[in-house]
Amino acid sequence: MRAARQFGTLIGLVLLCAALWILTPHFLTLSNLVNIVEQTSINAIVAVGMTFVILSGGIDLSVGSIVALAGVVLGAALQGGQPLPVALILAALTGVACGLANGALISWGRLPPFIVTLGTMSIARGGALLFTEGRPVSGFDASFRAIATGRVGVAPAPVIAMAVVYAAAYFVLARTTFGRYVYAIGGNEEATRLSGVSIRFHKTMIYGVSGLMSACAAVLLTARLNSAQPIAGINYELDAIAATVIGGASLMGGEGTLGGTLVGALIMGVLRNGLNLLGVSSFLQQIVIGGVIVIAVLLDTVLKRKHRT
Amino acid sequence: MKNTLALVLLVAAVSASCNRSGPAAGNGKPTVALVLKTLNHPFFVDMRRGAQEAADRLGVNLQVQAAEREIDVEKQMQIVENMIQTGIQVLIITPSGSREIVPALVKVMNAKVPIVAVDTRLDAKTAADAGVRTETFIGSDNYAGGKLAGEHLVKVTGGKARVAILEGIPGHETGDSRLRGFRDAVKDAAGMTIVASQPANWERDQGFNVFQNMLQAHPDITSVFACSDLMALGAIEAIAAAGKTGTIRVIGFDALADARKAIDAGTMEASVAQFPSEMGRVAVESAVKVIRGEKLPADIGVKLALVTKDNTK
Amino acid sequence: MTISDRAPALEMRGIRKAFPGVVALDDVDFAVDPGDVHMLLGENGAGKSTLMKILGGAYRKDAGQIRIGGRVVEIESPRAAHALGIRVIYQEFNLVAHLSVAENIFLGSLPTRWGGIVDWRALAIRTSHLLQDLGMTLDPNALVAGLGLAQRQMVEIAKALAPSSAMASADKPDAKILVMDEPSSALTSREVDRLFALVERLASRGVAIVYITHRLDEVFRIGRRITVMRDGRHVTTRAIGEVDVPELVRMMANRDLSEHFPKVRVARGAELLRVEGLTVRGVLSDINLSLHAGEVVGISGVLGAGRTELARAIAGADRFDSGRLFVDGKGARFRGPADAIASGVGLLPEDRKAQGLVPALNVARNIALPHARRMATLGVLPGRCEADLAAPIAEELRVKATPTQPVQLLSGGNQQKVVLGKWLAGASRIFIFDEPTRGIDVGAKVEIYQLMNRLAARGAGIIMISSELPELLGMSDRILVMHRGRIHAEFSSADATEENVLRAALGLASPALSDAALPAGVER
Repeated sequence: MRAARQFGTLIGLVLLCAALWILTPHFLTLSNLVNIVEQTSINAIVAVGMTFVILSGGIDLSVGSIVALAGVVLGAALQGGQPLPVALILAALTGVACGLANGALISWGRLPPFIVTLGTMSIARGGALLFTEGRPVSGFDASFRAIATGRVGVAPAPVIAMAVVYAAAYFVLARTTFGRYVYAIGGNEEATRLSGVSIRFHKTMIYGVSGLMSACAAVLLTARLNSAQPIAGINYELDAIAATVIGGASLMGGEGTLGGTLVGALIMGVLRNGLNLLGVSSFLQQIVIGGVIVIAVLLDTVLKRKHRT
Repeated sequence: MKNTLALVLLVAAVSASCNRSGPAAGNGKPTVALVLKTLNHPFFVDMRRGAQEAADRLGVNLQVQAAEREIDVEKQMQIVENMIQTGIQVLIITPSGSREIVPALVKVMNAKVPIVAVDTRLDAKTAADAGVRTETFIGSDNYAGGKLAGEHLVKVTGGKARVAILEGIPGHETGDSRLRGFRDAVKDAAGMTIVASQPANWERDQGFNVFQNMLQAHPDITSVFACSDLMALGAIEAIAAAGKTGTIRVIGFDALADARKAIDAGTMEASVAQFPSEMGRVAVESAVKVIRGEKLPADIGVKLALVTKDNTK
Repeated sequence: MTISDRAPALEMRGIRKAFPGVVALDDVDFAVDPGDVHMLLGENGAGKSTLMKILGGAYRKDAGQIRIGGRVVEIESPRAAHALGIRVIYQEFNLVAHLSVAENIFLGSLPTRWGGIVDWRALAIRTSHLLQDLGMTLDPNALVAGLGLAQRQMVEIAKALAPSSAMASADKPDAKILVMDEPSSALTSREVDRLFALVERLASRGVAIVYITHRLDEVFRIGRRITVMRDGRHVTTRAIGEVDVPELVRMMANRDLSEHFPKVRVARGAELLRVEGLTVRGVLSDINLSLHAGEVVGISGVLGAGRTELARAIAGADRFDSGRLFVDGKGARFRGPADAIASGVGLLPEDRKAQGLVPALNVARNIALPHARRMATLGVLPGRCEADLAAPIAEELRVKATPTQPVQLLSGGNQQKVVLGKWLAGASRIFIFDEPTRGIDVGAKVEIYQLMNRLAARGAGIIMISSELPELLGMSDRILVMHRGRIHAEFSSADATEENVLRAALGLASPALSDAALPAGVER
């Protein structure tokens, strides 16, 4: 039953593609499809972290700001002459530290995730602006930019990065105790606690994962724009939440899959691309994307209700 | 299953509501893409109008796209990538980030699509390093505009004023140039003191808030220069809220319709007029020349003018 | 004279209600006259609350007829019940903590002016009239959040009796039938006196009152008639003068022992668990008990006696203020459930859906949840380890489901087996079963009893909390009876009868336990 639902989302993506194929000759070309996946990769990676958080019954509004903060730390490190691996580690540490701080406040401070990450959203954004005095950090050498411009065969490097992240995250969710606890905490926190699982530790780690994913996205974004902007990543949390819920995750926690999230992110990417190709006005695009989110979640809820009774 | 049905319906609805042809649907007309920063700013709406009029006159199929937010370079980059897929013949762009958009333009170059930049210049060094070449740049000289505003202020205040500045988003070429022009114009007048200079990020409500805070800190401010009219209009509201209407001179940039009304009403001193519809017209005309293989100058200036109470029309 | 003046205020006939696996009400008749104070009695699970929830519109009946004032009605929602003049005050209060007393009382019908603006003056006047009329000394402007339990109870009652329009007054209330579910359980004796005075006053105005209680002394103080229910059936309805306490207890307890308890007695082994002086302020005081290998210790008591709290404190789920635990004679400190599990304590929680299971996870993963960390290497779970762990357990328990089915799709009995399976899969030797057979069918019940026999035979010790007396009597080697946070009595299986256990649970056996002698803090 659950499999059928996920399959449904995938069929939705395929039909969306079919419709665009009929409507415009430019859609179904190899270069455009590669283009879409490349454009989707950043949102898709942020959405991995969001999926962990939403599966556990939480929410993370701070991802976009963490992308900006990790990005400017990365940019500053590179411009300061640090070798690439050091800069990457600094960016990752920045993201993880923000995430762990979120998680610690939520689990030990017993604060609602919405409030904590709303605060972090503002703090990290302010931190990024303060750190750079509001100015973008730009101009990196080719070895770094290869993270965005490199290709393996037809696959651009960001797509490879996305594939690696999804494979790793899938393994963690499917085959590790941590992954099991993510689902269990979201499905029934009290039952999980009574099973001897440390809720606080694992919740903290879950937000740490989200922070790490934001840092990964920051690396790709910075390489893509050849610039680290303190104002980058605005509204990324909304795109990531949208991808996750279109993919069938329940905001109540405990239900959802990574595969669904990837399909959700691709649906958003295909939609944006297709609407551009069709020359739809940017105002109408927003209406369509908003409509798709609401309809997807509405149908999901209706299907679940039907399923339960 | 229903999921999918709904998606299909949506797409169908959308395709029905836009023109069915889509970009580059041919019928012999050349296709030109105009990628703006945003469409929720009167400046760019005017630019599109001018461009569309020229396109209709010249028989060009013009595709206009813009990001939702002016500062969203990543989204603009995606739009550029998507437009390449549709087989456009020329790309006209107002870059959201003069450095950040360059990687996207590399792809445009690789697709052998010529580029025309409007309003905001590409960062010369970044573009050169990446091998990006624009056919031409069309815009007014923001530095000269800032200078015009500064000189006017010096003149009307007799060289004595305590000045506050509302900046745009830091690191953006447009705002930075205006700022430089303004500062250069006032720096030689000994009586002109800049008491505060803060970004209000091009937005009206931020202009209101930031200037309200400035007034708290410096109640003796006598003049304001805002790098855009939206911020200037926000500042005018803050002045009214403080009950100081008429005591503080406000100079803006862009000469928006609302700003002209404010100048008529006397709540605003002046605004530097740009002519965005003119820029749009020249951009499309230039694109047509590029398609015909004509050479263009590297820089096409569009006039600037100071709008004051005497010439609001 | 109209019909409704002579007819009973409420008449319920042949009411039937089944939940999956259980028949909660079977052909129940119940009638209350205007001005009656009707005591509704029965053990936990006898069906009193279900009957009243049907009356209040919270549940729909499966069969039967309800007449209000002689007229047949269908009560489809709490709103419909309200419109019929039925007011139910549940044990859990339904107040908005951050609104004032007056706002709470008139929440559904705030007086307004000019189409939507609250008329605060009218609200204040109406509230003070109402409170005065009911003899309550509450400040209409006080926030409910700042009130004690007794005062909140008063607000609930005032809310139930509040006229829904300015036309109605307290002399001629809209409320025709008032149901109170254990209203005195949170009150001190003086507050109870005030409550009873109020009940008398309402009855004299013709309100039909249904009063559910476990306190037999109250029955004889204010009751006019009584109805006893047992196992979802109506047992008897009598006038108060026709019964005495012993007869009442017998009627509540006496039952056909149709259920079969396959109890196997095992030689008592070494002491597994000892609890000394365990106290949770306001909830449990000075609990002492011991559990030996091969032993089943039953714990009885009415709702709120502290049984579940005791189970959770022992299993490390909740903290306790003082007291000590010994496992195998050695002192043990549980900082959380993980420590208790490591010491071999397994808790089958009272509410399996809320505390025992992760509904969206499958059978194998639920069973393996407490053991995942033990089975993993560097956090990675080997291939099919969860399925391999769960398969023999599921087979032993005869869980009718595949290991990959989400447990939310299972029946109550199978879900309960999965929760049991979580502890069978580990090295647990001390089992705490809190209501292990609640809401499951008879077949599954017997299987759980047989499992308890097997566990005892393997040398495990079991603490079984149950509200079903026959099960407790049938399966326990010893029975501890809790009352108001204390262990009030202990019976060996030979001495225990339904009657004496029930008497003890109602606090009757020990005359010393009056309000004056209550331990500090228990008075809530």
